[in-house]
This record gives sequence, structure tokens and C-alpha cells, in this order.
Amino acid sequence: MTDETTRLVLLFQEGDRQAFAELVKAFRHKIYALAYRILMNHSDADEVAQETFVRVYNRIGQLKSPVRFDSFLYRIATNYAIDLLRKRKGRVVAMPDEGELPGNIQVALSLRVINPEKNLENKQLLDAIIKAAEELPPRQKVTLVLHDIEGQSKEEIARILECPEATVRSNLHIARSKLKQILSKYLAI
Amino acid sequence: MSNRHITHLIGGFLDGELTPKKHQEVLDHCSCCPSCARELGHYRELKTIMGRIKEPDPGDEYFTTLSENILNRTELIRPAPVLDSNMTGSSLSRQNIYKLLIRVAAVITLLFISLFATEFKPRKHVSQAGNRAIEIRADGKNIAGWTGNIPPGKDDVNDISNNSTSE
Repeated sequence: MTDETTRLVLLFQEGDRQAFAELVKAFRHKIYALAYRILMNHSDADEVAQETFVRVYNRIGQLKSPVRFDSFLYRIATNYAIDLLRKRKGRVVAMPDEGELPGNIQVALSLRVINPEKNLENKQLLDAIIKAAEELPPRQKVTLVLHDIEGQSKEEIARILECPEATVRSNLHIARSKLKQILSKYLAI
Repeated sequence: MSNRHITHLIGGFLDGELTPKKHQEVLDHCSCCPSCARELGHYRELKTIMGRIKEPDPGDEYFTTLSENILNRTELIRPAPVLDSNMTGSSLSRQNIYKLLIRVAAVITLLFISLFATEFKPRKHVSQAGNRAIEIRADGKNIAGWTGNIPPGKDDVNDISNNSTSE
């Protein structure tokens, strides 16, 4: 975390609302992206982003080490996203589709495109993987997203999810195995 | 090179967490084991695909609105007290002052309660003749609801005589 973030967190802890506004500005993209990758849905990602910062505002007094602000922020965001995933269980969630997304929101799935046929094949494969990821238990899914998409280390994920690193490894292994089975089916065709 | 499959090492291999020796062991094994090589290939592909999942870009306007919504929602909320003494000494000392004030207020309230309780505590007066307890107030009025005449007992006589002399 940057010194500037630490400075803003300290100011915010002393009651500076402008510092809070700056922190929102600095992290809103990251939190929205994280929430979207977990929930694959704009309106849920928006809800997580808003609620995360409101909770950060309410709970900033609980943050004992300002240098750990990003873990604190990610923990609040992932916990809320996990709650939404649990609530969503059993509810059918539509796959993101460029044509159906509001406004200029588009799914930027930057797969390597060799030719249009390959593109379609990749899109189908990706949809299948996203759908399989939807079926994962929330904590496995969040671990997978944080590690393989967000690029967080296992140590950091353990801190965010407040669990042992061994649990992170285990969740990651199970999640990957499940998705790999889907991939194997596609690649076997 | 052992003939045992190395599937348990694939995760560590992909994440670059293996020692150079183990890393080489995986490569050597995969060069002669099509099953493990395929498995590794699939995991590799999966990791690549996952790494390519991007969030949509809702645009700057959305993020500006998001910030405004958050700030509006937090406008009426009192900022949370800070718990970290090292980082926010001034806030903490203010918090201590509040705690001290609350304790002082509690002590004063208790003192008042105990003072008034003593002041208005009814004392028991035992009538010898009637052999029954009658509660009377400090000013001598019966508060037990009994309105009949009580033959004065020994103590009563003393009280009356004391009162009459003092008047």
C-alpha cells in the first residue's frame, strides 16, 4: 500500500471526510472490479461497492494498522459479496451478455482471438467456466477470484478471508479441480 | 525420476511456489507421462482463461455517481471512534475524557440517590401497648394507613415529653 493511502487513512481516522472521499476515489474501481468478478453482475457489484465503503466509514475505528487498509477494505467487500452469493443460491443468475447490459457497460472478456470460430468457441468455453464458477461454494469462488484473477498472494487471501493459509490452498485446489473438469470436457471435444 | 503422478504438485508449479528441484521434477515427469502433461496443460489453460476475465467498464460517469452515493449515505453518520492509540492519540484522549466524565456523573448520581434514600427512609416505631409496628415519618405522622388511637407506650411517652420540653 502506498504512503499516500496510509496518510489518507490516518487523516480519515482523525475525522477528515475529504480524506475518506479521496480513499473512495482511489479504491472504487478496484472494489467494483472485485465485486463484479465474484458476482458477475453489475447491479450486485454496484451494491457491494457502495455498501463496502459505507461499512468502511462506520468501522474505520476498528482498523488498528492503517498500512493494512487494503486488506481491511477487501475483507469487507468479500464478506459482503459472499453474503450476496449465499442469498443468491437457488436464484437463477443470467450470464453477462453484452447486448443485455445497461448503457455502455460491456463485458470485456479479452480472450486471445485467433479467428471468429475460435472466438465463439472461446466464448462458449468461458461461459461454461463462469457458469461452473457460479456453482462453487462462495468461499472457494472468492479464493479463486482473488488468486487467479486479482493476483493476490495466498498469504494476503488468508488475511482477507481470516482463515489459515492451508485453507486457502485447499479451497483453491478444489475450485480449480472443479473448473478444470469443465475445461477438460471442452478440450476433449 | 519416480513414476508417481505429480498432480499434487501442479498447483504449486503453476503458482511458482515449488523449489527448483521440485519444479524440474514436474517437468521431467511430464515429459514422459502424457496423463500428467495433459493435466498440467488443462490447469495452465484454465489459469490463463481466468486471468483474462475482465470486469466491464461502466464509465467515469458511473464511478462519479458511485462516489456521490457513498458520500451521501455517510453524510449523516457520525464517524466511528478510532481504537488505535498509537496512530490517533488525540482521538483516544478525547475518548478517555468522555469515559472519565461518564464515571464522574455515575458516582455523583449514586451519591445523590444514597443521600435522598437516607433522608426519606421511614423509621419503625414500635408501640408497646398495641404490640404492633407502625411506620411513622420523621415528622411523626402515621404513614401505614392506621388511623386508630394507639395507647402511648413507654417510648411514646418519652417522645412526647421530649417534644413538649423542646417546644
